[in-house]
Amino acid sequence: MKVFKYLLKNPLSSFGIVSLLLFVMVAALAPIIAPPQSFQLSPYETPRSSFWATPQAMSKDHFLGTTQGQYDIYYGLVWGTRTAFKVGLGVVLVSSIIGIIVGSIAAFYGGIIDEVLMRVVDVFMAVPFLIAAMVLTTLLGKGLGPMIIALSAFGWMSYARVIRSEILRIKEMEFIQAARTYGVNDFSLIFRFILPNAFFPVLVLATMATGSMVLAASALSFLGVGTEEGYADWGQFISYSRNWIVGQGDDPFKYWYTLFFPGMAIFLFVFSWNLVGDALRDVLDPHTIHK
Amino acid sequence: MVNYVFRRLLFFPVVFIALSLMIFSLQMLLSPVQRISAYITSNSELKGGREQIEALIKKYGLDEPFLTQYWEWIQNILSGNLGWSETARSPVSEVLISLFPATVELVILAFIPSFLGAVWLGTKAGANLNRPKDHAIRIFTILGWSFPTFVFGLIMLLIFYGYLNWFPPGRLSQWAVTEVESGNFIRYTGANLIDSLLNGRWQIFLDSLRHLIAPIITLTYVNLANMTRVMRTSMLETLRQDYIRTARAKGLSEKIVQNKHARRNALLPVTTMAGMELAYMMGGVVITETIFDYHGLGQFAAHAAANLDFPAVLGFALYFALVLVLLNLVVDLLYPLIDPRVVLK
Amino acid sequence: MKINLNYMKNLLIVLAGIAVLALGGTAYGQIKNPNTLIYLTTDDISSLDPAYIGDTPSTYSSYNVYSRLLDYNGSNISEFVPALASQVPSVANGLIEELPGGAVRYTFPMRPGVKAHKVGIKGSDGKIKWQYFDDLSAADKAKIEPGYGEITADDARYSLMRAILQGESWMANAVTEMITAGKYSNIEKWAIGLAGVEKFDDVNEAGLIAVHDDLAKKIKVVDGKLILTLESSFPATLGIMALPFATSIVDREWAIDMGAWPDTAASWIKHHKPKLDQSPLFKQENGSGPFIVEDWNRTEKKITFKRFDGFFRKPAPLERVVLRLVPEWTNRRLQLLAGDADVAVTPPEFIEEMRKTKGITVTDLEQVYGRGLFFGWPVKADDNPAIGSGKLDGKGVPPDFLADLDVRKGFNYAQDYQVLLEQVYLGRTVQSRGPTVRGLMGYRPDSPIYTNDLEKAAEHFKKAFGGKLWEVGFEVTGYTAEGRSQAIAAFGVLQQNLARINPKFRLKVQALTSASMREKSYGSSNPESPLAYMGWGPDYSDPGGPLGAASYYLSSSGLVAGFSGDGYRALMKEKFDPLLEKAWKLNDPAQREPIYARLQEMSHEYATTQFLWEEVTANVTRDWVKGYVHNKILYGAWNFYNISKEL
Repeated sequence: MKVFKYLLKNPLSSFGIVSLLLFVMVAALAPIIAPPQSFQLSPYETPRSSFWATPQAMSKDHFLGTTQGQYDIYYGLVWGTRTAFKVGLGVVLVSSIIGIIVGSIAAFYGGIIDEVLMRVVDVFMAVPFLIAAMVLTTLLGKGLGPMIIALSAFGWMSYARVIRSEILRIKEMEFIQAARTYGVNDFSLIFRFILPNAFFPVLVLATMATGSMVLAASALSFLGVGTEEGYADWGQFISYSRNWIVGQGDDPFKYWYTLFFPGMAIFLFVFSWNLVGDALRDVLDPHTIHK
Repeated sequence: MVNYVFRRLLFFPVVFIALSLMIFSLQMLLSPVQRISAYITSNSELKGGREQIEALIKKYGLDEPFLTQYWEWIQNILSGNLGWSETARSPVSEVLISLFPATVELVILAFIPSFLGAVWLGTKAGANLNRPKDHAIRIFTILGWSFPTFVFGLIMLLIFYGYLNWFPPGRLSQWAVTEVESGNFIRYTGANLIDSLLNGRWQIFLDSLRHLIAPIITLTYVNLANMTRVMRTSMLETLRQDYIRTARAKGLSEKIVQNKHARRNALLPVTTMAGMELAYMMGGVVITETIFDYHGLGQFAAHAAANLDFPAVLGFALYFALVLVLLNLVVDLLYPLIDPRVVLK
Repeated sequence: MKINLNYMKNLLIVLAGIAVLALGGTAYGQIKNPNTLIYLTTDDISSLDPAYIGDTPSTYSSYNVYSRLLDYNGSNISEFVPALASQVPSVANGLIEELPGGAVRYTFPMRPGVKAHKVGIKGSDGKIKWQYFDDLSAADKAKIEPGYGEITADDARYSLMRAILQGESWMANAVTEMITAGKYSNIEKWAIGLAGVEKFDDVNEAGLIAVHDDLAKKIKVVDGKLILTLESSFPATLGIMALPFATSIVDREWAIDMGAWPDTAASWIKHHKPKLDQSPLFKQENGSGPFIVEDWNRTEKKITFKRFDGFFRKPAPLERVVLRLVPEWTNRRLQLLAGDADVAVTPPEFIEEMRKTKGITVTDLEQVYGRGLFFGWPVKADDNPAIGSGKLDGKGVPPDFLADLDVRKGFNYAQDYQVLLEQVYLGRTVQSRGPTVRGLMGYRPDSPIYTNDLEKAAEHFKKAFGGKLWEVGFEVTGYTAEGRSQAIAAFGVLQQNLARINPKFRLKVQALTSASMREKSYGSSNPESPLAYMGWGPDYSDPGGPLGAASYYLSSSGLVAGFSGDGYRALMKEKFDPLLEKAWKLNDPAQREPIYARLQEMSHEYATTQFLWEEVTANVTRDWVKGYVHNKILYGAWNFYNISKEL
């Protein structure tokens, strides 16, 4: 609770928390504030009221305008909030679970197992992240699932490392030694004593990563291997805007809305996670002061 | 010491075998018809229909058993040129060698300002914990970290090229390209800045600099946040040390304490991290290079990945692994110089 | 380790200094790089060997670097002008003769004195050295070894034979098909046919020699003229001879010197189907076209052409052409606006934007093909996600879903062609009426087409599958290659309309990588895709024959039949093949035209494909780029010879 208090007291992190709460609300209320239309096969397919190639400015029907191909920006952003949470949290969840399993096995058993697992980590670290994710999504096809798999497959290594070093540290502590002498088995030792203690460093990492995974996903969209066309995904929408940044001869800001709104959404989201993560690190990092 | 270096380099073959197996198995997930795509550049080549596709599959041996294909692939790669890249239509090693100088030039030039900037900003932020200055610096750096690189890059391109026409994309202007390729210009390194100086061609030097600035600004800003954060944390920690208190107690000015005593020690973790950061920049210039039409390894790798050019992807991964190993080595070797307490085992 | 705190300040000063230096700026209305054309593209040249390539991007090189016996006459797709040949063969001038027994003989007299880019000069050691003709002094020119870099009928013979025997690209195989008058579609089949064996691997050395000799009988040099003898008529011969692919003429002596096929009977198999880089002509050229390849930087995806002053016509106005691959559109656009580039490939969404931009000229280019949603039936039955449950239960469709004519018609009435033409194409093109588009034989502007009519669509859907389809509905997936926003739009309109007709009609769309798309179409003998967005066009103006528009779409052995399933092929065989064969055998265009027009009508009657629109592309250039001539059949490839930069 001390942690939470600190986060709320710090102006930067409290801003982050408030804005994340807003995003959660938008995601939860999506069916009400942006109801899908009857002909949509799935609510994540952004509806198009017409098919003009050029973006259209804001109007009564389209609060935030439309992108190229007339995808409604407002709708896309509202439902895209869910996508963002899915991508961010999904990737972080999957990769931290892999990382925790690998890291704790390595640390707990040590010796040759540790050596092998850490070399595996090294190998994965030696793969350039974006290119590896690109290859995987190219192989698996477009869509949310493949994207989460690809980003997790090459994003779990830092969790493994952190968990491993934390466990090695905690393992030497007295209460663990004591529990061992009482014959507590390995499994419950890890789950009941060690992991809870190693939780905070992972939390810091995960918070920071949630935002950047959404960015990585948008980079994949930029490189052409993101979600399906028209899928309510900020990365997709901002990727649409890239061609309209230039505007038109005498009116350089003609299509500003195509960039501004998706840009703001993605930026606020990532920024908030980073602010929270940054502050969390200040509190939880054993090396810094607890004020 | 030699032993230590040797152990570090021993990692390389491990990476090679693991990566080659990983990438090869991935590509085998695809059917032969899909894999033939790497050899076909345009749909119009398919007018020959299924018959032609089957002939191509046979020609490239794509329907052989896994081990046969892997063996052939490995042989091809070990034959010295790392295999054939279909997207570049050249041997992979040739591509890597010819594009390496361009990427290094860009990354090093972007790394220096981001490192120095991070040290500077991190010191300031750390020394002013939770004061407005700290907040301002953190917001400034996190901003760069929170925005898609491609949007930031495109805006840079639009402003500096579209409106101001100061910094054009590419590596050189057309007149300079003609000069460089004319035969009166000797390519020593492949890095335009260095070569133009060695050739004594000021105009080309300036032209090449003009083309570098916008991508450098983009890369610098995007990479600032991480190192600043580490510098700040490390600064916070150092400022709590006893000797800093002593120094303060001695009545030294805060500025001297910060800049002379604290920062020097706080640099250690940042240096360690800087090696990694530099390595990741070398592997992660994909988007910046694409936006600024800067032909380097990143753009090449992205193109290769999108077109399922697996030998090229493996080649790029090996290059990256090598950079990683070498930079880690350099950092490890630098460590004792910065901190005499550290001894290499 | 002291770090100067003033660093940032200094950096800013330095940056400002450079900025001032950079402010050279260019005034508007002034041509940048006056004699160099800079062309920013998104496609890549795959090989310089004209016999190897089969794709339009690669013809940017072969078209400008090599010459052919004939050229297309400007923008006309069925008239020719002499190039390396000195006359265009015709029945009137006696250069096309019908021989007794139905064989046809083409005679190509050659233009004298044509030089290739590089010519051979014998050194003092007796060895031939290849040197650029443009660099030679008059004294050196006198020392050119006869035939070495001089283009003669023998070079033409060698080039055609090499292309046929190499047998790599489908365009080279088209030459085989031409020379055998449609009997064999590639050299391997020819060899199998002559030897009477099952597989090409079973053809022995004698068989290989036999096929070479048979080929050599059909392509001969007599009195310095090239003579082609075809067993029966093949109306598209001159069209194929003028295409910038396998009929490009290379210098025989040079090619052999570089290690290409040595022009002997037994050796061709060693040069048959080489890998890309194993063709000696892959990265070097010695053509006789108006431009020389100065540099081909394959890693930077850039090719530079230099003017050939020794060209057999007067030298080109441009001194240099730089073709560069720039993947990012905004980057291409800004370079074009700044005048650093002269031509930039533009995505369709931006054509109208660019038209409104000052200093930019946009020229619409009609293409010779249409786009459509291609129906396939039956589709692969097992393990096929496109058809869901694989049954008529509302959660999928049966594999032969589109075999039902009512379903196909229902789909065609459900599409809204007007919306696509107006909104997606902004009125730049017209609805496609079938396989043959404007300008081809058999095209009639009053042939029947489908229009958006949801009631009629509903009527047909109600009839389909005995009414069960209407009751349970369906769910089916359509495919397109990724990055095609028009395809997504076409599917999108269809999807909305189907849901309006009956909420149980669910059409899903998936954009695939080109690799997966090929897998869906060609992975097995029946395709996986019941509906796929594609576009295919003919390779000469005649609608018949192996590469003609009507055969491509409507023959049971045609291009479209190849990926449309057994059902489609059976329908073609039954209804369309007889007419196609009848028309191809006739020589009189007046008799042939009604048949092709009928075929066009039948493609509507049987709703073989959902024909959407005729493709239109555009050249987006600076105002100062002049002289582009569009010939539909070349798919927009640029002949840089005609181009100049002037205000």
